[in-house]
Amino acid sequence: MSELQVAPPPIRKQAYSSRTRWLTNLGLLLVILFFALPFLWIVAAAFDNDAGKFVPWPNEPTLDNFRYLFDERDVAHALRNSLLVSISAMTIATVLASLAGFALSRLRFRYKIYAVYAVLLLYAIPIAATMVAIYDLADRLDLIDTFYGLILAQTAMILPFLIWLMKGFFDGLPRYLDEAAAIDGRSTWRAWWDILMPLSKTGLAITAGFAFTAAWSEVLLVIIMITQQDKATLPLQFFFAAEGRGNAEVTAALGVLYLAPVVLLFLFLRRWMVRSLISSTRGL
Amino acid sequence: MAPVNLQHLWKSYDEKQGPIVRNLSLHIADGELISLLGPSGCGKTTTLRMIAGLEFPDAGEIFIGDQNVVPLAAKDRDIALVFQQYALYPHMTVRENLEYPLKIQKLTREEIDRRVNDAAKLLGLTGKMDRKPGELSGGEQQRVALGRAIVRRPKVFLMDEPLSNLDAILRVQMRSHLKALQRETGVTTVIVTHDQSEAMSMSDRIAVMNQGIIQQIGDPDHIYQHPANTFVAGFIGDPPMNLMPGERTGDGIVVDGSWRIHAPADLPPGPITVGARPENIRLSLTEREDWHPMTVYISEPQGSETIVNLRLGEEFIRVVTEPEIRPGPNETVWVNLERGALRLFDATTGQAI
Repeated sequence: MSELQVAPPPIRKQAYSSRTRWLTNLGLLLVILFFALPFLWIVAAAFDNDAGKFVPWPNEPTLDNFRYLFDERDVAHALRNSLLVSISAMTIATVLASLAGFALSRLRFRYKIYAVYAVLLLYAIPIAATMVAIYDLADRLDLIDTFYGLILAQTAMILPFLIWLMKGFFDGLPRYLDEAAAIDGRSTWRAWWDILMPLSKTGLAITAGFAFTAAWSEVLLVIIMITQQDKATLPLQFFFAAEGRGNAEVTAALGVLYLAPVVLLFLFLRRWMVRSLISSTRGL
Repeated sequence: MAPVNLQHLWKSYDEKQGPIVRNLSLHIADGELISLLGPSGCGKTTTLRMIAGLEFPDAGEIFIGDQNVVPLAAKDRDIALVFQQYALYPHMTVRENLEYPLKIQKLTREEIDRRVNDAAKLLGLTGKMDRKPGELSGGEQQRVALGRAIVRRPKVFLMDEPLSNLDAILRVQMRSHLKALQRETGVTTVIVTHDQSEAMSMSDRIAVMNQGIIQQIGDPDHIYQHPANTFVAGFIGDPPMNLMPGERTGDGIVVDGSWRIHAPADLPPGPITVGARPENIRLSLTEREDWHPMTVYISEPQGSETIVNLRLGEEFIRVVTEPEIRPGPNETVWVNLERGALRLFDATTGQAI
């Protein structure tokens, strides 16, 4: 018993040499700077009236660039269009990817392996190669300059990767869970809804995040399918602004608007991911 | 509650591998607890999964009561399965896990509460009802898995290695709980296990399986005393039965060159396999008349007994003896077979004679 009364020694941490730590930190800093500098430049320039070639921070921070975008260029309209298209594509693609991912992960059917390969092949095909075909198809189906045409095309484009992603998440859930639900009296699809869906929340969130980001930043399909100014989405406006080599500060402000949702989404997802990862590993 | 009748079941996963279950027939009486015992890959789990409806037999019929359940999906068979990994729903609390099958059956709230609380009391889970499975110990998770089976009041309990994920002490405790629980509920139960002592201690009958075929079926005593072939003899018992190559001569059998064993007179001459349980071989540290000398390989003290390993050619035989007898390596000891303890097997087919 006497041993219990002795105070334990403080926990000792593994000591690295300070030189190693210095070098590591320096290396990390360089990497961060390399990737973060363009981003910082855009943010700084967006709030400046007269950005030079290199802007540490604006002398007189201003919202003039944004005001110009909203008042003169009607960027709110493009923002609304972009959100509409991206959120629609995200929702449809996530639901479809979850269903298809479940089918490829769990159901037994003939030639399933070929279906899996086909999905992978579609993912590998570069979208630019099919540009002419997509335009032709969209034209025949009267889908040019329509949002649902664009949503359809973008959904189709991102779906293979998302299916692959969701299949991976479902593969990671042990099969005995759906078997237990079957024994308890559930049909395959109710078991998917009751058991697998709640457990793949993380996967769904990540899939949705990917879907939104992909649809949001997609430029090529927008250029092919949208010609009318009032149907233009943000990337199209941004594309023209960047192409015209117009006012750099205005372009930067547009860039900030374009970046903001993706950054917000990432910050939101990151917190969410950590939480659900902890609970799901504990539960399994 | 119902009897289960398996008739000529066949199952292959892969044509190259060949069938994993071969023409298996088994009648399980109403209220009986039967174990499917065998090494991994013997087809015992596949058989269980076919009864559950998780695998579809290539041929054969499965009757639960009077009903042929082969055309029925798992959800329509009214059976409960306890999985080796428990398969608790990780996002649900213990209470929700136990309620889940009952909600599917659309029972009334009062009935669900009554059954869940009864099961919780029976299994000692009352204080843990609001925990998630991840917050429970292995033994508690195992009890929740049992509870989820009990609340159903199914026709048949199926259990796939239910105790194998528990640590040794808990495993032995749960054995007796499981047996008592089955007696209390009286539900026909099929347990799959690779642990012969588990099967011995719990079962009304044991079906020993190997290579997709039931090698022997019977009550534990019968299987222990009268193994049908050398596989069963070598699988049952800890340590298992010693199997020694022998040669039939004029008035008996010769084992290990010079060990003469009395045997029935009506045996044909030629090679034969002699089986003897380790506890049926007597061991002496001093020479005795007509006892056979052997060399010790090593002694394993067990507290209540000692297992002495003796050299027999390239092989070993094991003898269980008193705890204080601990001969050292390479010592010579003398052995003798107890009367009536001899089991004989055909040297080529391995079948009991």
